[in-house]
Amino acid sequence: MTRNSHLPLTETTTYVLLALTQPLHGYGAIQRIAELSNGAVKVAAGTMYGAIENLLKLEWIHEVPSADKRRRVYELTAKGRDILQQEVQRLRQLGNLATQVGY
Amino acid sequence: MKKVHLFFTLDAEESWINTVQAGGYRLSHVTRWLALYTFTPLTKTAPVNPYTRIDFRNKAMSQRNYADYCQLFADSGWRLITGSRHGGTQYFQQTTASADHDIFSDSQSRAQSRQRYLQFSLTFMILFFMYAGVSVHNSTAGWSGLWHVKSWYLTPGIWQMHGGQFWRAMLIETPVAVLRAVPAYVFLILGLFYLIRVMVNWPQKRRKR
Repeated sequence: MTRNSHLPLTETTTYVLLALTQPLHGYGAIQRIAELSNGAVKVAAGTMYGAIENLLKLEWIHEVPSADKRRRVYELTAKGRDILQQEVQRLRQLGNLATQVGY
Repeated sequence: MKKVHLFFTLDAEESWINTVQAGGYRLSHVTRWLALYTFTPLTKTAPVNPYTRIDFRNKAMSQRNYADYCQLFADSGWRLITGSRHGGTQYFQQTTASADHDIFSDSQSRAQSRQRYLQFSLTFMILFFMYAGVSVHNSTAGWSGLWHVKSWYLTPGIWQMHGGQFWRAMLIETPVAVLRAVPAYVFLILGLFYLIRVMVNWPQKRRKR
């Protein structure tokens, strides 16, 4: 099996993709990640903006129309869902492997 | 309080601003082309002694994108002090004590903004050296003439004139001569400024991706 050259994803990228499985604007994604991680992960504004820029370039997310003129809203593309699926699978395998050796 | 200070890295600039602020001030404006920083004293009732952080954009953004960019920072508790959608340094200041202490939460995104700063410096270094080259090339005296003030004057026989005639010719031609020579100097100085910035910010060792 040839692995996608983008894998493994960075922690920030994985969290942002997980958040954007539903349409959200940048700050919405920050809040969603904090919520999902029980406040453990706080993505800062500059990091979130950079992540969104990168993901748009990779076409893993796309903009969806919204009424808010000052906040652009994004959601995963099919490509984005596919890469997230692959990453999660990779993490699961890693987790299973760790369990096998007693961790 | 106004201070002029020239920096060659964003990290040095950022830590200097925060050191000044720690003395009971907050940055209220930056006049970027003069490297002029305006600080205002914190009032006794000020809720926070804020951090100021710098992001760098090397490309112009549409009005809509810039509004979205600033709004994301505003939502996260960062107010834009000075910045431009046409690119360059963007100064953000904490609005609440509970906000994050930094605008970057991983080293990668911080490095990316510093990378944009390096790319920007590189572009402008090449541009200004090209301008300098063109303006020297267009002047009759060439590179050697740049340091040779007499060659800036084109009036035939001006250096053989005497007395009133010389001073009159001098008076008439000096502004023209200065205008002829100054652009090359300005472009050279700007080119050198960006060259230093490129050298200072050049990655020390290449990291594998």
